[in-house]
Amino acid sequence: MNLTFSQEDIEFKDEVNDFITQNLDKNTQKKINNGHHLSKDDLVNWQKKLYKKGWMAPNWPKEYGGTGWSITQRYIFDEECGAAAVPSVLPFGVTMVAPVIIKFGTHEQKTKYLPRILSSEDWWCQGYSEPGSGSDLASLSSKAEKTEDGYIVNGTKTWTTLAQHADMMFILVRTNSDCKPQEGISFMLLDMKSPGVSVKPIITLDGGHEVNMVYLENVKIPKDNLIYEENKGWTVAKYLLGHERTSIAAVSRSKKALSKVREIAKLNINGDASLNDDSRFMDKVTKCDVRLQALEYAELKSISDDVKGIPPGPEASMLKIRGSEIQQEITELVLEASGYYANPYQPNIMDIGNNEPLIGPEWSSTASPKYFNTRKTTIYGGSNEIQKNILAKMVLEL
Amino acid sequence: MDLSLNEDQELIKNSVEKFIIETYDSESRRKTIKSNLGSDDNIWKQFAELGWLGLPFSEKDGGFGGDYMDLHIIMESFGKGLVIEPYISTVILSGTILSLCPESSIRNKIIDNIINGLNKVSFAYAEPNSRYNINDIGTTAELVNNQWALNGHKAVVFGAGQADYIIISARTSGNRYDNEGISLFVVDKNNPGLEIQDYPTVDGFKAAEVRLNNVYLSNENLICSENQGYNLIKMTIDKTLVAIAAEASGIMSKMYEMTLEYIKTRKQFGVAIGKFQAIQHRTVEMLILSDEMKSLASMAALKANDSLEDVKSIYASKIHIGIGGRKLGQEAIQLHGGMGVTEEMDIGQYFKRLTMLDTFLGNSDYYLGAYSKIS
Repeated sequence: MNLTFSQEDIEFKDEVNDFITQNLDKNTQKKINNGHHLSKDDLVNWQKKLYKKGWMAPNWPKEYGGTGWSITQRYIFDEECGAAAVPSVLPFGVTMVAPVIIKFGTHEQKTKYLPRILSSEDWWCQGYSEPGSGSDLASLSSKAEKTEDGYIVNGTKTWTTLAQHADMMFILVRTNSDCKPQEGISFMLLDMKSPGVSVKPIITLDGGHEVNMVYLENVKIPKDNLIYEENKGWTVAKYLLGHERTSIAAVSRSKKALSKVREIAKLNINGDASLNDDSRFMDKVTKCDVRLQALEYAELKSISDDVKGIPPGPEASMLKIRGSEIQQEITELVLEASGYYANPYQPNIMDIGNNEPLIGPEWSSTASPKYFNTRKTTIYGGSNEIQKNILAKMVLEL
Repeated sequence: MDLSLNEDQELIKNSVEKFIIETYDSESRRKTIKSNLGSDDNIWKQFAELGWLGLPFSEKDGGFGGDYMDLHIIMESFGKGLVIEPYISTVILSGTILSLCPESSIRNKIIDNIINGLNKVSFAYAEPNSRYNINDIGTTAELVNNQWALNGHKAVVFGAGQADYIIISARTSGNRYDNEGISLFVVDKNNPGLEIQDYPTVDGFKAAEVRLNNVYLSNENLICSENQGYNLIKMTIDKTLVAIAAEASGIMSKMYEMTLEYIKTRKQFGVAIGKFQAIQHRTVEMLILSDEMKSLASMAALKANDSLEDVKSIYASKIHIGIGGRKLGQEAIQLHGGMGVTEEMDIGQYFKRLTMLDTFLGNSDYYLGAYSKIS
């Protein structure tokens, strides 16, 4: 074991930085630095550049278009992307459904969907939660009735992130009701343009529109879009959740956000003093940093396993729990630093063409909305309570 | 010692609670926020008729001579109803500072108009870089040809865009951070040189950046003894802290109740989630935090009735808004799950207000420091 970089690694680091400098849109970067929502174009433009470079899918096997990077290269890439504030690649395609298709998909499914995920031609969303099935996902009731050439689906999905832009949804549906709930679920791929699909926004506390309700009324899904076997969707879903939990730790983004807090702390925002002189505040920053360091090592360990082809185990839940808490802590610190300027509500300040004057410092303009919005991280992706249940059962064997 | 409410206090409590339940529902509150006007004229008129706008003023000033406990009672209910009318900025902050100033025709007239609901008033004490230090004042007032010329920038002034008058703290002598040398001026909203940049706040209130570019005022607009404004500001802030502790107490008890209701009705794994011990313990913790807020806020009001000399109870209540309030607020959202982060659910509206109360007049870190210094 060692943590040092070789000469090749250092050269790779330079290559990553050159790539970012040449390809990252300045306005997108500014939005990220100030915590604003990104548009579809912001995300897709960046992903297309990654694709052109061949760097879209570090987590995929090389034969499907993965990078074939070593653990060190994966680490360097994440680190540099985090530090430079590049858009996070949308996880639903490349980190969530793609590993499922690679593991369980037919040859036809692989050749049809994987290249379109790589090139960002398809925008994917996740159809898991339902109004009555959140933490208790297995109780889901969206019903798929079998027809000659496929299924007809009726039901409602909720908390569907960025479904307003989506071309495809991977969806869990009930194909059998006369058995244990987990045994009657199937995993399918749904074309969002199918007749009977409608998307309705859910506005969150920060005033943003990220999540949606998706209503399915007599929606046809062809039988070719079933992944793995009918009624084996729970196996597929569990495989996918392990991958989701690993990617949800957001270590490099949190490192960047925390270094931003340290920058803010250096500003003279307390009369002619700064928060750097306030040990009450700085101790909180450091405590957060300590937890983040522990998380970083744990995440590296999981990447190392991934490179070796070992699938994520229940320990991934620990990454999700701490990663989500740290993201929230950092937003608390920015909120505290903002003082009175946490109050103004200026949601459209970064939009192109907006000429409202900025109120207070730029960095504080999203402090409160960001704090409110980030409450979601301990709720989504399987709430932290559910993650603790998983750990209690699978690791503690209680 | 007697910790029960007297007859008059019971009357106030019942009348405010009745009003909140019957008139101040979530839908009309949201409508007022959407109107971007900062308040509903009809509601403000009722506040005047019910005597609430005159409650904290002395009888000599035409008010009802209510004490801190009366204020506590009204604010606790306002917290439960999440009232967004500018009661704090007009009646408590501005009303208190005016009543502490020596009598003058302009002072008396404005107090009268506050009590009758004819005028709204806003108090501008913070500046972009002053954070929570009320003596860090860059705004200046200089005598030029027998007129005061005011220049400066006042930050996040609650209710300034809707106010008829704004009270400004400005430096008339001394150096930055000196307590001596701060004076208070009252400015009419139409005064030339006054620039008001009005905006909504994240919790549904209204605030503004107030810029003064050669605002000329006569000597009668100087409402305190020249250079002697600091103590008046400090007393005003301490009094306002008593009020917002009560508001926070109302908010926290309501959030606890709403969460308890939710965990009893939300079903997962075939049962109400309140059946799970992990959820039960956390909800009990919320009850304790809410109860602590109630205790600290009541204690602060009762101590303040005796004297504003010992502010430890007041500071303690403010610290608990920041620390206990944050914990309770976050738990309330978490236990509501995804629903908790939607704009549509009321729990989030309470969460936002409670969060912003920590940033108001000094956050928990600020008062931890202040408390340690005086203990």
